[in-house]
Amino acid sequence: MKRAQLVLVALGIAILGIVLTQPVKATIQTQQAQIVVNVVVQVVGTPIGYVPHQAPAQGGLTIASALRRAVPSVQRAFNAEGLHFEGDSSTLVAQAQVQHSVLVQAEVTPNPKVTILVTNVPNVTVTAAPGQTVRVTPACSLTVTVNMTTAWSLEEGVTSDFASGFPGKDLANDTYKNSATPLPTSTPYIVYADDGSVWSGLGSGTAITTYCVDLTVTVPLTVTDGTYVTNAVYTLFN
Amino acid sequence: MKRYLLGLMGGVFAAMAMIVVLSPAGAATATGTVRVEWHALPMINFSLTPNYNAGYGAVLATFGTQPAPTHGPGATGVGTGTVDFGTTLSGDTYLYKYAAHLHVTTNDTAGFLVYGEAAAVLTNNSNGDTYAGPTLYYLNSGASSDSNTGFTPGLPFATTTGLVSGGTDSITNPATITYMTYPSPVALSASANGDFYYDYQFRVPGAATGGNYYLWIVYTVVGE
Repeated sequence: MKRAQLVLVALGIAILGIVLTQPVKATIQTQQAQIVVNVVVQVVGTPIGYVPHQAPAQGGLTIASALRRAVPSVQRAFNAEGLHFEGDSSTLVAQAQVQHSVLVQAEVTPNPKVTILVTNVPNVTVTAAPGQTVRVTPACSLTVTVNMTTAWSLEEGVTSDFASGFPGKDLANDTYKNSATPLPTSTPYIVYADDGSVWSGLGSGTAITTYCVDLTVTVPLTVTDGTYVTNAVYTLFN
Repeated sequence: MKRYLLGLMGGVFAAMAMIVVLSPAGAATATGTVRVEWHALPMINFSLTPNYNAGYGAVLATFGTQPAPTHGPGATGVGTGTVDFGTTLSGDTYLYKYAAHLHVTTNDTAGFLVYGEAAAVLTNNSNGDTYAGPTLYYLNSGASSDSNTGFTPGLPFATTTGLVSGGTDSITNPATITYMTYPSPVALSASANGDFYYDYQFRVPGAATGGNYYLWIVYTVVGE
């Protein structure tokens, strides 16, 4: 029994020696930075533009009111025989508003790692109709830059679906180094919330690199008019 | 003045009706029905409550287990103070839970619209630096529960193009915006009353210098 234990210990030491003398081929990656790009899709199915209300003139009041004509004025006809109001020209709209505000504060401390992974814009907004596929233009209007000269790897994905019935995979990207030409096809983003809480690999390197990200969104036919949003996330490891 | 106009119009309508009714009997007249409709100015009652639920405060955007919310000294308690994210790092994203509750009651059966805008760009009170572009985002929350994280998608507050006044003190002189044209609403209600619960996300600009920052968010409720 003792001999067997000694043999096992010797075997273990031998294996440990072999492992320790081998070059380290696998390393544990550490997250260095993570950035978010807000992707907003305005779904507009009919060509009806938004017409803002005319605000009342006010002089520093928090409550104000005004009258305005809802349609261009049409002269009212009146004679001794009676009254005649044409169309809806008699319609006057009364408006009231109440206003309150909240102060938002923060104490900011500079982050020494803030420049190692940056994007040129915090938001991308796309307008599309149901059933339509829209590619964001111009090309390379969104960039992601890695400012590291040691070994790094970059991963990407979107956090969640736009909505039920509007999956995050309907957002695709054509990502290429800014010195290269766009790829012929776009790749749907992996959706962190749906795809096992993982990101997909985008690239790796040992030099400062800028990627162009050309986004394409396809809006399902069943999606109704409204504003839909998700976050594209880029995570840097080394 | 506007009430005067309304009154004047009513008087005109009444006079017109009287002319029709009191015309000499012998004249060749025709009688008819005069229908006058008017819209009463809707009454709007709107309260804005910051830090509206216990557990309010900021958390760093994190996947997985969420850290406990913390806040700066400006957030003095449930329902009081400012939305104070406390200490943040440039380039990072923070979620502020239970930031603002809007409670609106009106007598307007057509409902109402809610506009929400930043009164100015993000400003460093320590050195006057300003940062244009979206930095503060809003997202729906719950009255007493909140499953959002710093990565939950939100929508950015736009910086107003209206005329801003005030903004020197959150109690005695809060910021106000005078609109000539309203922006797109952040919310709407088809009924007379409504409650809106919001979390805020602060995406700290990577280039932000150290210091104490502030931003006013102004909500305006307008009857339909």
